[in-house]
Amino acid sequence: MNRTLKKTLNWLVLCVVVLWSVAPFVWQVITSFKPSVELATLPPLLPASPTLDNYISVFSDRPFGRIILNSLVVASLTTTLSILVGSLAAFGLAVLRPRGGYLFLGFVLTVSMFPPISTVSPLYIIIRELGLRDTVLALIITYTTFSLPLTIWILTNFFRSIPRELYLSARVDGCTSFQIFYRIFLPVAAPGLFATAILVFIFAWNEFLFALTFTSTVRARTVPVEIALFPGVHEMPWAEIAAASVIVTVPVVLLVFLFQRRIIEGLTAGAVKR
Amino acid sequence: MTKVELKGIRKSFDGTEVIKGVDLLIEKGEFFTFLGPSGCGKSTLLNIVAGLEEPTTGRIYFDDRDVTDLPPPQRDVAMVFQSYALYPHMSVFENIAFPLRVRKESHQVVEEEVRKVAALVGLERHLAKRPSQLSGGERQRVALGRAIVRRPRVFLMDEPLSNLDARLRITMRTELKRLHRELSITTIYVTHDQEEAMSLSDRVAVFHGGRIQQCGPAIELYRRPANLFVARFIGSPPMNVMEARLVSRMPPVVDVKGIRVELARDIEFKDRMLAGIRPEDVELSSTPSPSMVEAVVDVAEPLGVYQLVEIVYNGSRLMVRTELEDIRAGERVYFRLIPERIHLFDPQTERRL
Repeated sequence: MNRTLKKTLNWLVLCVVVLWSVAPFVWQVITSFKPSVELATLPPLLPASPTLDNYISVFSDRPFGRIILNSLVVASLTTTLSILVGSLAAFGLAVLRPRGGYLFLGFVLTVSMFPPISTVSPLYIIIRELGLRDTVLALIITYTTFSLPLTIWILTNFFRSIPRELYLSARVDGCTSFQIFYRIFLPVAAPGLFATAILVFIFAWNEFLFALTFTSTVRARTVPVEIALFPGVHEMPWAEIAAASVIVTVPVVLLVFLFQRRIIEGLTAGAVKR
Repeated sequence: MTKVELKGIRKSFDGTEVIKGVDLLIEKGEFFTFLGPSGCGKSTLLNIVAGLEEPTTGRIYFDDRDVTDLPPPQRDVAMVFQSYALYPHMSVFENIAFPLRVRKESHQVVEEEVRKVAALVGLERHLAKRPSQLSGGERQRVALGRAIVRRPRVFLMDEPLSNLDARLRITMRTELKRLHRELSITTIYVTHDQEEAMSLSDRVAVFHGGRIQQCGPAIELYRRPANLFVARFIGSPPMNVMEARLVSRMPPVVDVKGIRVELARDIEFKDRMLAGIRPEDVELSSTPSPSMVEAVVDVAEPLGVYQLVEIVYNGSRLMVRTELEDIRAGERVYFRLIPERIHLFDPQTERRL
């Protein structure tokens, strides 16, 4: 096969894949700028008279600002908590190597084996008894529990890929284990931390089932639930749903772009010996 | 300067004993080397001295003070690792400064000490760089600098030159020797390279199978190896070992594969022995002489100053080091074993006779 043909093919495959994954989002963006009369008509593909009405009404007719704030609080606190607890646990497992570490890792994994739907009722009872119904705290605690296994697993592997001599050397240089953790291992593992943090953030940002069950009012409701509650009895506000979806996707996309380089580093680290 | 003493050190991992009783006294300011093949327990013993491993039994003393139960930070030792173990996210300056920062030294002290050490190891121009921007030799210097900056009681080095290429290794060897002379800090050095051990150390302990085989100045190990293992391990290329038979006791004459050698020494001879002779202790000539034996050259490796020649006589092979230049494979040569340089070993115990 000659090179130009190969290159063209490469590009073709690439375009198909990108189209495949981006198309629904593009469709959403287009829909969000359409006035409701144009919604069900095709052609034209692009809105004949683009409008910002949908975006305005999302914020004026509904408490969407507050909902986004809830989501932000839940997602960022979940991420912080997960990384904080997860990195400490992972450092312990990977570097200090306690007896039964592998057993513990296996045990941690079982937490994420239960499908959420099977745990949602008992969890609801616990949350209610604790008086945390309809609070962001309920979501933060639950999300942290469910994201910790992933966090611990990724970070344990990441810390394991850091040469053990760094630990020994820092020991001899006079560091306590905790000093080694925050002065050496956290900065060296920064790409891994970023990658994991983003995964957790996205999980918490998108989670629907627990949020739907544990919240009931604007006080603690998060974005996915709110959007699901958009449809009224007689109407399906497609354009507003689209606008809201676009609004909440943007921060995640921005986040990923901002840390893109670090995430790629994080995902590929350990693949090549440094 | 600190005196290091090890008493009855044993270490087992999961029931396998890797160090089987080591007693050692390392003098103040001494450059002491643990030499041995991989898996002989030398690195484990170094880690025990550092406090990174605990001995299963036995005690460690620094200047007669028991430090066995002290963690590494309180032993005040510095360690250089084979992989350098530099902190990749810190500049060279910060790497060297790290032990001082941990000790919470003032900014001024850190600045001063790091500059001093950087000058000592020749890194003044690289202080702002990251380890990843340095060559292997420069990284090695950073690791050294980081160890020196603390003025530790004991310097521990675990194969610090093994990752460098051959030429750099020799430069750094000289450098290490100079540093040790200038700082005169007690140093324990681990290596599998007998040449490195010989060139650097005041004294060497040869390890094998978790035990010290022999301990003493390098030249003594070379001249009077205590057993067959040390005899074969020290010296390059290794000693020729052949079977020998006692022919007569008065005067003592041995037969080494058909060559009769009269020995002028008073030892307890056995009927059957192993004779060791170093390649440099065989005299080679291209012209026949009554005291010499004829042999054929099988392989000749010219190395500049000397040649390594493998000769065959009576179906036996012998590695010889010679300064003769015009020797080629297939030629006839004549050789003699220098009697006073022949080492004799008991074939059962492998000890020197």
